[in-house]
Amino acid sequence: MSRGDHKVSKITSEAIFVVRPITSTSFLISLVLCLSLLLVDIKYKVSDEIRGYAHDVLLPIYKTVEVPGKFINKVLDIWQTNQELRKKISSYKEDNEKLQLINSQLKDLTTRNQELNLVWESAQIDKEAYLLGQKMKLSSNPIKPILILDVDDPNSVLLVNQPVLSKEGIIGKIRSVGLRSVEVMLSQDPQSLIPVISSESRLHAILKGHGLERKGRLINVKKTATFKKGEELYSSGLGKVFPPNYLVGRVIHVEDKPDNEFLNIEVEFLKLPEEQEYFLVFAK
Amino acid sequence: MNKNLKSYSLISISLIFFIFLDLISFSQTADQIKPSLFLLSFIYWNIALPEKMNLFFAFIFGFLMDFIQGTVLGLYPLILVFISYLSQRFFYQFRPLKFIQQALVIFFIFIVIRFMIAVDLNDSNPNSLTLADKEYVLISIAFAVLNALIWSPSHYVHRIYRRKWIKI
Repeated sequence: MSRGDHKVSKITSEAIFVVRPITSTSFLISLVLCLSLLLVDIKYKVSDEIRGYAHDVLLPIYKTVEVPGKFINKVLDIWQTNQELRKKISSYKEDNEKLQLINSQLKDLTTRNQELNLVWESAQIDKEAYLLGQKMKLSSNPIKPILILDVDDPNSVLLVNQPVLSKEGIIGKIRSVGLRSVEVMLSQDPQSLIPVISSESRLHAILKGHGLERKGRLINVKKTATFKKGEELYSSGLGKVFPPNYLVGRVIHVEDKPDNEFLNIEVEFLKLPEEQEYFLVFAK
Repeated sequence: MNKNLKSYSLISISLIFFIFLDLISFSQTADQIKPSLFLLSFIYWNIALPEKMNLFFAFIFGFLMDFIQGTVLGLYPLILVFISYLSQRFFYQFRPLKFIQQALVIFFIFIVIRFMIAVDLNDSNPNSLTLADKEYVLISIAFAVLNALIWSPSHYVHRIYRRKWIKI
């Protein structure tokens, strides 16, 4: 054993073969390094520049992790009998017919709205404006929920702050871009702010997230505002980050607290579709 | 292969394997309370082989966790540096404890980790220093309890692995 690997007893002068823990100096240096990194990242958001590329590197890991789940699903699928599958097909056919009917109604509504020049802009039905992203991972961190998408389109122009949509409406915006991976800041994130307009009272407000599976809040709403419980909130398009008229959430609670100068309005976000594999990135 | 290099590689392989397991997703609620096998593994190696675990492990795996979890860069390295230091400073006291006592220590470590993660570093909520609410506290307690319960079997599995593969 080399010199310095053990201590010597002051009483008996015998060697004490203890493993030397991390020295206080190296611990303090590491601590200072970590705190400096934290401060730099908080102030200059340096990590946002590299997170996308880091997810590019981690992409094989995310894909490998999905393999057991996919395998189990495959086995379960094989176990299903033909009869069950036939039943499913017939029910899907029924659903499909209903959907086609609803779709035709929606098309009719969209045409009417366009005629009236009210809400829908041509961008909304422009297929080129959307990029398809496959879900790689949904972070379990309730306070910092992130979604990682794999946008495998070499012609795509991915930029920070582009909105991300599920089939229901807006679920967040891009925070970091890699070669083909993007990190999405979800609308539930405490840092997320979305300008919204209510469906009935037509009032503008800003919707702030409070974490995964938590209610969002409309901030700085004056007490004279007449938001109603149950009304839907759509993106207003102010700020020019989110396109207008997409569903964002629903007002579920309006409270006028005497000790608060603003109204306390709680909002239920769109449910994060855990089973949904693909999301749309609005790239215009 | 160099003995030290072999030990570092085997420890790294086990840590990466547990990151893989942690990444497997269930329902949203289950994902929030499921035990962090990576952190348990990291604590185990710091207690079992402190001479093999240096601060490079804390930094490399910390950055990896920051990217995976979406936390501010430097937060997980900070947590892992703390875990490394405390584990290596007190492993002589920790090792002879009964499993129930060890589980209690693990419970407190994980509660502290959850509250460190909840610190509002980006000042998203100007009225408070933390983003934790009542629901978060309850979920954190459930998370810490589960980790404390898993500690004993995790320790056992790690010991078998260490005795079979890692020679000091």
